[in-house]
Amino acid sequence: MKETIFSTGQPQPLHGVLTEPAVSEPRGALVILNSGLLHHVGSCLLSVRLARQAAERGWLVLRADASGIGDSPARQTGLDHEQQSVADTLELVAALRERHAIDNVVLFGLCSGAFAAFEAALKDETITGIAAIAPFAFRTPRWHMNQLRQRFLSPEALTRILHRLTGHQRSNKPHYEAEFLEPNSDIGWNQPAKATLEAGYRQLVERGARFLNMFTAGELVSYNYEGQFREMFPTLAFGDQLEELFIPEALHIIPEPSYQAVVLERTLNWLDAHPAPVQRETEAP
Amino acid sequence: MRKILRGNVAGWMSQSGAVLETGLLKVEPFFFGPEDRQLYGVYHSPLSTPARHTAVLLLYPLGQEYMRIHRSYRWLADRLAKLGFPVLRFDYSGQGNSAGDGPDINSWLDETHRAATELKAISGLDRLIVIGCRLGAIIATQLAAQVTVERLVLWEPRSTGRVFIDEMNTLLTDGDWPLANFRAPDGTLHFNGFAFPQAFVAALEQLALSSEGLRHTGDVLALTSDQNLDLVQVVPNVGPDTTITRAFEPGPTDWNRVDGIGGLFLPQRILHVICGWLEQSAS
Repeated sequence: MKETIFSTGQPQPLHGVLTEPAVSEPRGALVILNSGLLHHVGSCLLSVRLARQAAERGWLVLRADASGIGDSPARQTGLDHEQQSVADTLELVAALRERHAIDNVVLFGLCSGAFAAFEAALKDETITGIAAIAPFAFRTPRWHMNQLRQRFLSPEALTRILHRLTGHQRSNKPHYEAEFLEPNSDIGWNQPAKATLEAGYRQLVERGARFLNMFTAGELVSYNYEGQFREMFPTLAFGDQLEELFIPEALHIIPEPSYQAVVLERTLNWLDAHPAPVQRETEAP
Repeated sequence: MRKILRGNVAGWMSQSGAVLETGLLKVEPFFFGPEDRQLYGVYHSPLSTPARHTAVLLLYPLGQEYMRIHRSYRWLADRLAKLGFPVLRFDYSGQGNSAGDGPDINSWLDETHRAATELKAISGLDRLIVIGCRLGAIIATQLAAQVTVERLVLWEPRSTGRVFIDEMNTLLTDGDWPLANFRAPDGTLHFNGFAFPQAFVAALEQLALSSEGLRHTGDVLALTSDQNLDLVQVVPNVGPDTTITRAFEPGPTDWNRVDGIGGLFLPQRILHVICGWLEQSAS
């Protein structure tokens, strides 16, 4: 395994780190995208760990910063954050493909990285899979049932009701000194309409793309049981192209070492199962 | 006796809008050091002409604090480059992009020395300013005890590494994020997504702000946002050859409680004060 600097684009390049496997012919390329404003080491170093472990399994891995994030300078393109993230992702994939002659690219993203991965995959057919943490999700009837149960019948709910009846004061929420934080408001994503998302997934499924969609407690507002993603789109024939993982106790940035290990193991196993691209026959002249 | 300037630092606020170069910043990531333990650094070339005669080394704090301050350091490095300073920031081994599986204080001290040498070689300058935040401030004084440092900026310094361990232990006791923040049976302290093995914690407890480093430095700026911190006690006077300026500026005080998305600090006033102080005091 070897790590080198990877830069692409002028005059304001995108910078990242390329982790190369010891084998001469990688199984494919894994591109790890930014999560919000976190730079390319990833939340709690998740991207670094994933890159190094995937490279040990034969993957060529790039983790890079989009324009204006981490170590990449901000480009004055006039694009909004969503558009720029997708454009940057496509640029990184194209540069990697060009330099390493790889046409089997998988994307990994957490939160905004997951959103950018999905949009980029729609535009680049060499992207054959997405491993995502906290991709867009929509509530289902079962989500509402679970929510009602959680709100009124769970031990937490009973404790809350008891506290209310006895006049128990809730402790103050931790103060995060928000006035000194970099605002995330400029990098928010608009959730697409369900029909738009469904059409996108349909396109990708028909193309043979694979998905590993992972969810944490950070997404409980829209996702609260494993299997929900498949139920969201009953007309889509995901088959074995979709895997879901729900870790309801994990926080959104996954600081828990045990859960980070679960995410890493599941992602690496999913990568192991990722098929090599079908060799297209050259058309007769 | 406490001698902390309050509200008097506005004079140092960088007049950046009026004097900064407007060309494209050149940001160059690179690896340096031994091939089997390479360190990740980012060099920010100076923009203004003529460039300054002093280079700036930025030293990161520990663990999740490194994540939270990365964007501020990027901002600081860009701004200092626009003011004509060559700047290097780098990741300690086992942190960020640098090689290594975990933290090691003694290695970090050696690596800081190596980074200073690297910065001098790249910039062609022998004169050095070091900026350190939290644990980075302690490491900065340790470096200043070994090499000549003209100016030190100690952002939220603490007298010993023990203070950081105590802070973490307090949150462990409070029970915040119990699955993330805990002490494992082997003694490893898991905190906000980073692991600190027992040996590292023991070494960190022994590490202290170096009086020798302060004594060897001509000019020191110590900045805090903690109204309860006695900066005179933390950064004591060390002799007539060192000028220590202590200042209070509003900024983050709770470095350990992280929100659900890993909120990144960007305390503009503090960053402007650092730039302004260097702009006016360094050549």
